[in-house]
Parts: sequence; structure tokens; C-alpha cells
Amino acid sequence: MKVTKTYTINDLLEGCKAGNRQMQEMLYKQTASKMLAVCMRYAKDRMEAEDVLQMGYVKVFQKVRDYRGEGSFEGWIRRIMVNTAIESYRKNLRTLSIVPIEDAYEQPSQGFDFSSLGMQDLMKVIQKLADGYRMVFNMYIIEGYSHKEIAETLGITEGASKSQLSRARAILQQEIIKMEGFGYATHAG
Amino acid sequence: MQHMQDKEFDNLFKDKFRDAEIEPSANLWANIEKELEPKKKRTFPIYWMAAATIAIAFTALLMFQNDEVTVLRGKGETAAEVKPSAKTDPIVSGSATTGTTPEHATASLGKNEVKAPKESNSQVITPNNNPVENNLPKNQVAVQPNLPNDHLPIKQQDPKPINVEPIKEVVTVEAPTVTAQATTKTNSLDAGEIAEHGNTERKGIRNVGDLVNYVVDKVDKRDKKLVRFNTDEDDNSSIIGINIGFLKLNKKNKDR
Repeated sequence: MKVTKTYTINDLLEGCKAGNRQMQEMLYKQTASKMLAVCMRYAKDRMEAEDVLQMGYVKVFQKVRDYRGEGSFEGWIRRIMVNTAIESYRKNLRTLSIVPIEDAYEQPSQGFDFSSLGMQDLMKVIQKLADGYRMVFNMYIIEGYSHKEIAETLGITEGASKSQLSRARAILQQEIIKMEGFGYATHAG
Repeated sequence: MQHMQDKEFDNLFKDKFRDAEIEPSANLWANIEKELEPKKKRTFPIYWMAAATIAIAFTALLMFQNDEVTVLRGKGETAAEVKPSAKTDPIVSGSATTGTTPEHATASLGKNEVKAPKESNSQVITPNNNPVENNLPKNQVAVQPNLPNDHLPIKQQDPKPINVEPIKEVVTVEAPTVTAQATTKTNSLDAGEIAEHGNTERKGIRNVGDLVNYVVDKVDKRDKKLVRFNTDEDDNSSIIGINIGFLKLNKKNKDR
């Protein structure tokens, strides 16, 4: 990340509002890597994530004049990224790959320590989730949407949102355990 | 217990992703920039297209309305067409023939004959004869009710070129052939040509803007014209585009 220190994000905001291309590029360079991390959580792979990132930034620069200064500018950009990701998910809504019930692990193992896991590992696990699960998990746990909001946004019932969340959690835990080489899954089942 | 575990689990993810950064591919900004560019370029053509569409629409409208003017002229023309045949005879033979020869009748005989021609729009030609000038208003009064006011001014001006010849006639009766030619000339003139002619007299049509101004002038008698172009010596299409912009704002009026 090349961060140009002479410009604060608010300077860049003004430049972007004026449509200054240099300022836009600086804003991009300052924020893109964080935003790609957001997009990655919602995407199957890096390519999809970068597509969303690109669409998101185009939107950012087109809508920047609408930004009223409520909340941080970075938070605003992040929201646009999330919305773009959700939009893109809804557009090419792949049929929710439903994991057979037998494959869902109800009981997570206790006490294992996966704080040692890196973000990249967690990202991999999240990306492996079925699209619907991944959406709900991201929206609820990371972005803090309510089940009601998720239900409205994704066009599913609140109940479905809840059940998908717990299913997603279970799958994630299972995957992490596998990844860490813990053998708890069989015990837990 | 289960809930606590979920919370812990959730928080772990939250923490891990809170400040997560993943460097995007190097060419991504170029792609974004590319996507931003065409937007700007695209907006301009849209405005231009809109301007062009409006221009075309107005032109079509004006042409259509101009047709009505042509109809008017058509009457005059037909009247004129009839005359030459009649004229040559009567003038040569004498003034005995009735109203079919408006000009000469009025010119030579006086006002008696004029009444008949009035109906047949002959005033297009007649008003110009010096002796008949007195009749002019009468003629117009007779015709006016039938025709929209808009078109009157055209008549007053257009005939000017024709003036010259009829006057000759009055002076020398020998020139019937000349008048015939003259009238046929006027017959052959298209409405457009006439319009241009009239305008060149007043102002001169240097470009499309002038032409449109002229036509609008004829059609639209309000203070604020439908379309008004600024016209300069070096006027070209670009001026039109700009002027479309203040279409309705423009308060520049001519004397009329």
C-alpha cells in the first residue's frame, strides 16, 4: 500500500466529489485492499471478488456526491462494497446449494483454539461455503445485519436466515477443525 | 453454553476480518478508470443527441407549419396562374374583361374591378402597384378573416420583387410578355425560395440559424420565439447546439 500521507481521507473525499481523477486514484489506493478483503468474504474466489470491487469503486465515484458525511467515509465505501456484493449475488443467484442434513454438524467441538488461524485460512473456509450460507454468515456476523434485514435483502424468510446462519456456523467449525487436524468432529457427531 | 460458543466463534471471525487487507491485482485501477471514462464521454453524446433530436423535431414542426403558409401561397399562385392567360388578352385587347385581371384592371381602371379579384387572393400581386396602394388595406381586410394573421406579413414583403415588373406594365402597356414571364417566375418559386427571398431582403440568410429564425418569425408571433438562434458571420452547427440550450430563456426579439 502506497499511502500518500499528504492527503487525509477527507481531502480525498472533496477531490472525489469534484471528480478529480488523481484523487480518485489515491482514494482507491488507500482503501482498495481493505475493500477487497470485504469483497472476498462474499465471493467464491478472488476473480469474483475483484469484479465486485471494481463495480463497487465505480459506484463509489459515481455516488460520492451523495455522501452526506454520516458515519465515516470508509464505512460508507465499505457499505457500497457489501451492497454491490449482495446485488451481484442476487443477480446471478445460483440455486442455493443445500447441504444435506446428514452433512451438517450440529455439535461444534469445544475448547479448540483457532486463534492461531490466519485470516487467509478463515477466508478460504468462508469462500467454500454455499453461496446462501456465505451471504447470511457475512451479513449477520461480520456486518451486523439483523435476521429481519437479511431476510428482506435476500428475499428469504427470517427463519431461513436463522437456520442458514447456524448451519453456516456448524460447517465453518467443522472445516476449521479439519483444517487444524483436530479429530473432534467424529467425537462430536 | 452453546450461545457463548457461538458468540466466541463469531467474534473470532469479526476480529480476524476487521482490519483484513488483501492487495488487489495491479491492473484493477486501470479497469476502474476505464469504466469511469466512457461514462463521461457517453454523457456528452447524449446531450448532443438530445439537442439534435430537439432541433430535428422543431424543424419538422416548422416545416409542417410552413406548409400551411405554402397553402396560402398556393392560392396566390393559382390566382397568379390564371392571370397570365387572362392578362395578356385583356391588356392587349383592352380593360373590358372582368376581374380576372386584377392588377391591370386596378391599375388602369381603378377600384371598380378590384372587388372581384379580392376573393381570389390576387392581392399578392396587386398590392404592389402604386396606384392600387389605396386598395391594399381593403384587399387585406377582405382576406384577413379567412387567413391566420401570422401569414400576413409575408405577403407584404414577398411581393416586393414582383413590384418592379407590374409597375413597368402600368407605365408601358407594351410589356405584357414581360409580365407573363414575371408571373410565371413567381409561380415557379417554392415556398422555401420565397421565404428565403423575403428574408434576404430584410436580413440575409447566412446560415441555418437565420433560416430557422426567419421561419419561426413567420410562424410564431409571440414575444418569446419558439426557437431563436444567435447568428454570426462565422456561424456554424456548433452554435446551434449551444443555442438549443437556452431555447426558452432567450428573450431576444426582433422588431416584430
